This record gives sequence, C-alpha cells and structure tokens, in this order.
Amino acid sequence: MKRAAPRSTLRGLIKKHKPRLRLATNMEFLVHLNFLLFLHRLAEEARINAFESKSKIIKLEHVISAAKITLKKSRG
Amino acid sequence: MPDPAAAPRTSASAGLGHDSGVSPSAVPRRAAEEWARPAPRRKHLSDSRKQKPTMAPDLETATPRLLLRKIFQTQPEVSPVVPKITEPWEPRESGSETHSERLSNTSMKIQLPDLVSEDTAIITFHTSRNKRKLSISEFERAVDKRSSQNLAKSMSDDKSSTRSLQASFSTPVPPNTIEKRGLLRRPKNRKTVNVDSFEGGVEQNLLQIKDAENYLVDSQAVSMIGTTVMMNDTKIALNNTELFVQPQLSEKSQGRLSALEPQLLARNVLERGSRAFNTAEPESQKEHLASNVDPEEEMVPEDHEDSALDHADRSGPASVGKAGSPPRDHQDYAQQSSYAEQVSGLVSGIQKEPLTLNVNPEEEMVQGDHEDSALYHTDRSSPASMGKAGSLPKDQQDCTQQSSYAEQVSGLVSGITELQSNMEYSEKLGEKLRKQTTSHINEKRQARTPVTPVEEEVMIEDAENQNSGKDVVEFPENAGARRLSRQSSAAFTRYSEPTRKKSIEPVEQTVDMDDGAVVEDTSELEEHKTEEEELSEDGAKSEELSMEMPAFVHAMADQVSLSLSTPRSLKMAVPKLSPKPPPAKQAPKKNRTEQRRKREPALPSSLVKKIFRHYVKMPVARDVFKVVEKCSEQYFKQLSNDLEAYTKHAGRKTVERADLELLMRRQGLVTDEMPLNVLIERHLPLEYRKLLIPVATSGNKVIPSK
Repeated sequence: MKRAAPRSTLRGLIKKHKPRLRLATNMEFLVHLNFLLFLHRLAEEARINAFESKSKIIKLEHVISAAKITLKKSRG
Repeated sequence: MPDPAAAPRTSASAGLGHDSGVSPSAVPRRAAEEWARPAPRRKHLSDSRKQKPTMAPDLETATPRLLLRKIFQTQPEVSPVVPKITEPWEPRESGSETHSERLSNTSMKIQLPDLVSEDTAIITFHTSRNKRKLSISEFERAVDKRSSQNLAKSMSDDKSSTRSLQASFSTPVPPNTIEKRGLLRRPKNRKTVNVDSFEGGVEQNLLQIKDAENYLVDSQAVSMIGTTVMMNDTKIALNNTELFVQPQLSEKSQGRLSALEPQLLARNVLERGSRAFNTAEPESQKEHLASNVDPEEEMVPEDHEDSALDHADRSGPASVGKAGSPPRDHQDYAQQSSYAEQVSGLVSGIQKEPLTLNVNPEEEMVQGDHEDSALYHTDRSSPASMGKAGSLPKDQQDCTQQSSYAEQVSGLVSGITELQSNMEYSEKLGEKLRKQTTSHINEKRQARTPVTPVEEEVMIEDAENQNSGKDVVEFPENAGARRLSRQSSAAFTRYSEPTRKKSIEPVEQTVDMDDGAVVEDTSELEEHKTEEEELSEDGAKSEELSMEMPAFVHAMADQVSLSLSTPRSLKMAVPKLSPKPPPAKQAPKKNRTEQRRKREPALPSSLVKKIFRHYVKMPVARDVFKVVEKCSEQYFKQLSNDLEAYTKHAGRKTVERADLELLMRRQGLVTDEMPLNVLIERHLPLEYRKLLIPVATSGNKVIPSK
C-alpha cells in the first residue's frame, strides 16, 4: 500500500530552502516522483552493498556508502 | 364476374355500407369463390376475345395487386413500422393473427375500420355483381361474427390455402389503419425535443393505444427513453470522475496531520529528555548524553528545539553529516571519516572528535558553496549553549536557564577571544552570513536566532582557527560549571535577550549594559543586575572585541533585527522569554501547540521508511532509517538548488515541468529511451498520472482541461 504524496509538505520543504522559488501546479508530483526514484536508487545501491558483504540485513555501512554514491549521482 | 371490377370501387368508397348482407359463414366460401372466379374468368377471357375489352378492366382490377394498389391510393398513409403491407399474402397471415388479437383487445372504433376494410376487400368482389347496400347495424354484427370466426380460424386452421385466402382479402388494410392511427400520433411525439414531453407523450400513447397494437412502437419509445436515461447516467459518471482530486486532498491532509503527530510526539520526548538532562547533575551529563541521543536521533537535524546535549551531540554528527553529504569537490575519505565519527560520536557522546573532524571538512568547504555546511556546523557547535537557552524556557527552570546562559556566555566569550585573531575571516563570513542569515534564521527558533548570527561568526572563526577544540572542551566544562558561572551567564543572558527582543544593539552595547533598558525589558533578570555589573569587567574585554568587529556585527545585528521584526509564526522566543515564570502551567501547552505549528516542514519519517522498505525488499537495521532521512534532507536541498538554477536560467520565477524534466535528465533518470511520461506511469498512482498527463476523451474533451 503506497501512501499519497504529501503535497503541502513538499511545497513547504522547497520553500524552506528557497523561499523565493515558486512551484507550478501539480509539480509536487514530479518532485515526489524524483524523490521516489532517488530512494529507489539508494535502496538499490544499499542492496548491492549488502550482497557484496554477504549479509542478509542492510546495515548502516551499506547505506552510508550507497548514500554517498547516490547523492553524487542525483546532483544534476 | 363484375365483382373484381366492383372491388376497387367499393374499396374506393371506403367500404362503408357496401357490405351486402354477407353472412359470416359465407365469407370463407366467398373467399374461395372469389379466388376461383378470377381463374375461370380469365379462362373465359382468353377464350372469348370479344369480351376482352369489357372484361379487361375487370381483370386488371381483379388482381389482388391492383386491389392493394387502389387501397393504398385510397388510404395513402402507410406505416413504415409494419412490414406486412408489402405483400398481400404474408401480411395477411400475420395480419390475421394480429388483427384477431387486436380485435380481441381493441375498442369498437378500431375494429370498425379493420373490418370495414376487410369487408370492402371482400365486398369488392361482391358489390360489382350485387351492389347491395347494408345497414350499419348489420355490418357491425357481421364484424363481430367475423372477428370470432377469424379467431377460431387462426387458432384451428392449419391450411395454408385458407390462410392465404384470408390474407388476400382481409389483409393489410386493417392493420394499417390501426397502426396508422397509432403512427399518426407518433411523428407528432417524436418531433418534440424535450425528453419529458416526449416521454409524456409516449406514455399517453401507451395509455390510449393498447399494447397489442403498438407494442413495436412502444418498445422503441421505451428504448429511446432508456437511452436518454443512460446518457444522463454516463454523463454524471464522467463528471464524477473528474472530481477525484478532492477526496484525495482530504486524504492527504489527513495524512499530513497524522504525519505531524509523530513529529509532535518526538518533540515532547525530546523536551522531556532535555528536562531530565537539565535537572540531572552535570556529572551525569555524559550518561544523559547517551540516553538523550536515541530519542534525539529521531528528530530532524534542522529541528532546533532539541535539548542542549542533543545539540552538542548533533553538532558533531549533524555537521559531520552536512560536511560529508554534499559530495562536491571534497574528499570522500574525509566524509567517510566524518560519517564514522558520527556514529561513534552518537554512542560515546564525546563532542571533541566530531568537532575536530569537522574542522577539516569545514576548511575545505569554506571555499565554495558550503556556507550552508559551515553555518550548520556553527549552528550545531554553538547549540550547546544556545540550545539550552532555547529549550529551557519551555522547561521554565530559572536555574537551568541560568546555566544555559552561562554556557552561552562562555561560548561567546571564547568566541570573542577568538575574534581578535580572526578579523579577516569574520569579515568574509559576515558577508556570507548576511546572505544566509535571513534564510537560516527563518529556519531556526527565535530563541536561537538572535544568538546564532553572532555565535555563528564566532564559531566559524573558532573552527577555522582550529580552536574548535577549545570550544569543545569548554562546552563540557561549561556544562559542568553551569552553576558556577551564573554571573557570567546572567550578563550574557542580557546580551542574548536584547538581541532576541528586536531591540537589537551591537554586541558592544549589550555588553556595556544599557542595564536599565535591559532590565526593563526582562523583568525576570532583575536578579542578575549585580551580576551584570560584575560582568562589566568581562564586558570590557568583550567591548574591545566587539568594537573590533563592528562591520559585520552591525550588519548581522541589522539582519537579525530585520529578521526578528518580520512577524513569523515560527518565532517563539520573544513571547516565551518574557512570560516565563508566571504562566508556568500554560507554557507547556503553548510550547506544544506552537511547536506543532512552527515546526519546520519535513517529510514524515514514516513515509520515508515505508518507501525505502518497499524499494529495498530486504530486512533493514533500525539505525539505517536515520541515515536515509538525513540523506533525503540533503537530497531536497540539492533539489531545490538545482531547480532554482534551472528556473533562473530560463528567466522564470516558477518551477515548471520542463525544469523538472531537465533535472531528471541530468540525473540520468530520463533518457531518450525512457521518457518522463513512462516514469510517471510506472511510479505514480493513477490519480496523479491523470493530473500530469493530459488525456483526450470523446467530445473533444481534454482532462485535465487547460
């Protein structure tokens, strides 16, 4: 079960970082999509790391290294 | 012989009264005779040519086809509904049956024309010979008898010949008349445009004309009514589909509200944790560090309501996180080390290591876009003193406040001492900070904001000068020596408060103590007057220091004043500070409700957890989620920066779809093989897809309409 995208929260988040920036209508969904894909990539990387270390559980180190790579990738 | 000739005549005359006393029993005989007659007549004709010219008209008129033709001429209106009329034979068979049914059900009116026509058809053969004239009463009797006979015949007789005979004589005319009458009304009703009038008319018809006659037409009418009703329903259905957004919004708002609750709960937990910490002995500080670490870790790093320890701890991890997270021109190794330190720092509660480690990345970051990280670092490092000041008002413990102030003071003093040697840095940072203060101050609580700018500068300089160690050492010392340094703390409370209270004076002035003004402003600090005087000694030092940094301090002060002057719902410090002791009971409520409103927007952690779990599909350790949350925050920061850059490049102020598409393209999510719409269709639920991708529907409609 997926939950609805928190539209106003996303708007508020962007406004917090960039108060002068405006968002067009329904753009929150694309932002949400972007966020989902980012988490997807992060999860994939973490999974790969866990496989490589032959662990059945995703641990902190896997995620941290995955996060570095993924954040670099999603710089745009 | 003359019958066939007479037949059209009689039919032309509409056959009333021409029924020569035809007895019902004689009808079948006559039918047979009549059919038989033409045959011999023709033979005769063929035999005797002399009779031909005289007989010719009879022959021509005698044929059933001609009969029908004349009937049609006399009765021009034809019902398109009834196909039986086309041929004499076929329709007669069905017509007889239907006619019999009709006769059984219909009124006298309708019967008359049917039977009359029938009779005329039959009579044509007779009247030419006999030319009898009948009375109406006789005619009616004959009609009744014939109807019964017809019924009987249709039921019993299986002979095709009789039926065919019947079909030939009593055929299509009666049904035509009946149906014509019904049809006569029909077109009038069909012409009506309004559905209601049409339906009303149809219903009227149904009532007037009974079902047996008009069942065909009625069924059509009903079907038409049905279709109209269906049309309305489908229209309504279509309309309803467009309204799906609203219920979703309500759901989202509910989701949001539910998301707010966990944050609020976390807040409360932290408050209690902070209170517990503050009340505890300073010796047990480190123990509490560990205990507070866990609940605090749940909090969003941006959230500055955390307890002092939380801040102290977070200064390490958070700043490390921030330092490590923007993976720009900097070494991954340093970041890795910082991350490792983050973990260790959380566990051990040691503040030195993370701060020292932060120095290196900070130095690296000073170059470019890392104002954020530097500022955050300073925020985190300074919070040890600042945080307590912010959190304590909620706790409403003067002692603790004083202790917090003491820490602030100590921090400030240390910072000021550092200032002497770091004027250059301060100027540079001051400019940067000016740019950032408004935005960052907006992010933080009022309790902190006035202090942050100054302390930020201080802390930045400290860090840069690699004197962070001192601060680190000082913080625990301060924590331990809270009660000892009340005096200094008192003075610095003044120092901090005026800045908070929009009557911002440069550091120097506060230190100098416009004591009267300050005292007036803060009634609760009356106790500290003496301490202020004592502080004047310290203040002298600070004065000098403050004098040395007039430029950016004034600028900061202005910025702070401006920022403070803006009525922000998020700001609580001023109202909190003033009425601290009196509304002891009301404060906790205020704090919670105000916290709930003024909390910084952050994605609900539950949502992030859910999504991450769904994508990972493997068991995940608990501490992983915190990292994921911080990651996502960093991601949103990057995202907003990028979007701003793109929109500015396009000369716009609003982020549009093209900007987001460009971002995704640069991220490598959207390629030539993988367009944006496909991604939308894959990952987003249907309702959002409908909003984002216009759909064309019938009737030149586009959803969503532009």
